[in-house]
Amino acid sequence: MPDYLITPVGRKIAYHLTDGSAPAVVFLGGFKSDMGGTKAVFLEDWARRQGRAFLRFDYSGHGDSSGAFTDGAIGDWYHDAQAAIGLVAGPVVLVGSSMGGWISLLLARSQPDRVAGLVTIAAAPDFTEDSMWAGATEAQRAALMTDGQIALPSEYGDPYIITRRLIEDGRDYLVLRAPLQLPFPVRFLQGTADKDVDMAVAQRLLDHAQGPDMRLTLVDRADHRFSDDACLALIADSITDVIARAER
Amino acid sequence: MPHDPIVLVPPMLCDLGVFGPQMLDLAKDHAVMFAPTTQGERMEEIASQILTWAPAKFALAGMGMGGMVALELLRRAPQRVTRIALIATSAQAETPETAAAREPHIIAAKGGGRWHEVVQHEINSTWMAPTTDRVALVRHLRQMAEALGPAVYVSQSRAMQRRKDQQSTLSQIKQPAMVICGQHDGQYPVKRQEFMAELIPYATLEVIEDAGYMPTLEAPDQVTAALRRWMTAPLMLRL
Repeated sequence: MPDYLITPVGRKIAYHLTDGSAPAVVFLGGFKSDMGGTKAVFLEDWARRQGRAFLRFDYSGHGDSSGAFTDGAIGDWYHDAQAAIGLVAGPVVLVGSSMGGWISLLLARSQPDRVAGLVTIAAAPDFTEDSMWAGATEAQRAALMTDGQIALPSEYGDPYIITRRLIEDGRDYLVLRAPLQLPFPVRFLQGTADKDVDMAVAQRLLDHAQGPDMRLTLVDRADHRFSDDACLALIADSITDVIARAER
Repeated sequence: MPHDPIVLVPPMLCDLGVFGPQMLDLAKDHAVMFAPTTQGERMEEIASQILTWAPAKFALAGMGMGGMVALELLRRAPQRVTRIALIATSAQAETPETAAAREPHIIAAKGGGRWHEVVQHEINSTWMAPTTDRVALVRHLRQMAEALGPAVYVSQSRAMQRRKDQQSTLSQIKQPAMVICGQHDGQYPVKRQEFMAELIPYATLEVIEDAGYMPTLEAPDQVTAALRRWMTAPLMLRL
C-alpha cells in the first residue's frame, strides 16, 4: 500500500518512502509510467540494501495518484514532484527517467540548494515542444487546436492522448531555451537504440547545461526502457558515483 | 486552587514552535514557560540551567530529548516538580550502536558543508502518522532546525549520546504523570512508551491515534486536551 500526500492544490499523490541515510535518492518516472516500473522498483531495492533513503511516487493522473492523465501537464507534474521531495528533509539525488529527466531539471533549476546530484536516463527535456509539437503535421496541429486533443501512436500499447493544454503548458516550462545551471555532479545516460528520445537530445542537453561535473554515457543498442541488467547496474553505479562526488 | 506554572522542554532541533498550539491554549489560564536546551553537552548541565530559570514549583512537560531532560530534572529536584508529562520520548540510555551512528552526523555538522544531510537524520516523515500533512511538517521542522543550526545540533547530539538510563527515576515518580505518544511514532515506538508508563507508579498513558513522533504538531488539539487532563489529575498522597 502506498502512502499519500496532498499537494497545495489538492492533488493526492501516491508514494513509497524508504527511510535511510542522506542524500535520499528520488526516482522521477516518465510520461504515462508509474512508480511500479522496473527501474523504480530495482532502485528501491538497491537503496534499501545500502541503507539509503529512497522515494518513488506517481505524478497526478499516473498510477495510484488522483486525477485523469489527460488533465495533467508538465507544470502539474513538476509541482507534484516538488511536493513529493518535500517529504524529505535533507538533500536529494534526483534520478529522472525520460519525462522525469525534464522534471528533475526543473527541480534542479528551482531548488539547486536541495539537489546533491542528478542522474538522468534518456532525459526528454522540452519534448512536448521539440518532439510532439515539432513532429506534428499541420493537420494534427489544427486538430489539436480545434478538438483540444489528438491521439499519437505509442510503442507501448494504447495510443497517447495528447492534449492542447499539454503542449501549451509545456511552453512555460522549457529548460533548453535559457541558461541551465547544474552546480552538482550530473550523469546523463542514454541508449543508442532509443526510438523515443534521440541521442541528439542527450547531446544537446549536455551542450546546453552548465556545470562543474557533467558526463554523458551512451550505451550501445540500449533502448528507451533502459531496463536490462547492464543498464540497471549502470544506473546504480551512476548514482553511487554522483553521491561519492557530492560528498567530496 | 491556582494551576502550577508549566515548563515545556522541546525535542532536538526544535524551538518554541513545537509547542506553539499547546502554549497558546494553555496560556489562557496557566503561566507557561519554554525552556531551551541549546546550551550544554550533558543532560545534567541542561537540567541545571532550567532549574535556575524555573519557578519554585512547576509542572514539567518534555518531548523527545526534552523528556530526557525532564527526567534528569526530576531526579535532581523532585520537590520542585509538581507534575510530569513525557511526550514521544524514552527513559533509556542510548544504545552503543545509536551513539556510534551519531558520530558521522556530528562530524558532518561540524564541517558545516554537510549540515543539510544531518537534518535528514532527525527529520523523518516516515515516523509521522499517515494523516499528517508530512510535507508541511517536514518544512516546519526544517525551518526550526535551520534556525538553531549545526552548533546546537552537535551539543544536543552529545547530550543524547551521554544520557543516563532514567528507568529507576521513573519508579520514584510520586507526582501525577502522563505519557503521551503517537500511535505511529517510528522513533520511540508505542510499545516502548507503554513500558515506560508502566514503570511509573501512577501514570496515565495517552496514545494519540493520528500522530507519530511529533504529536504536538501532528495532533495539536488532542495533545492539548491530554495536557489539560494531566494538569487537573488529582495529586497523589506522598508516602
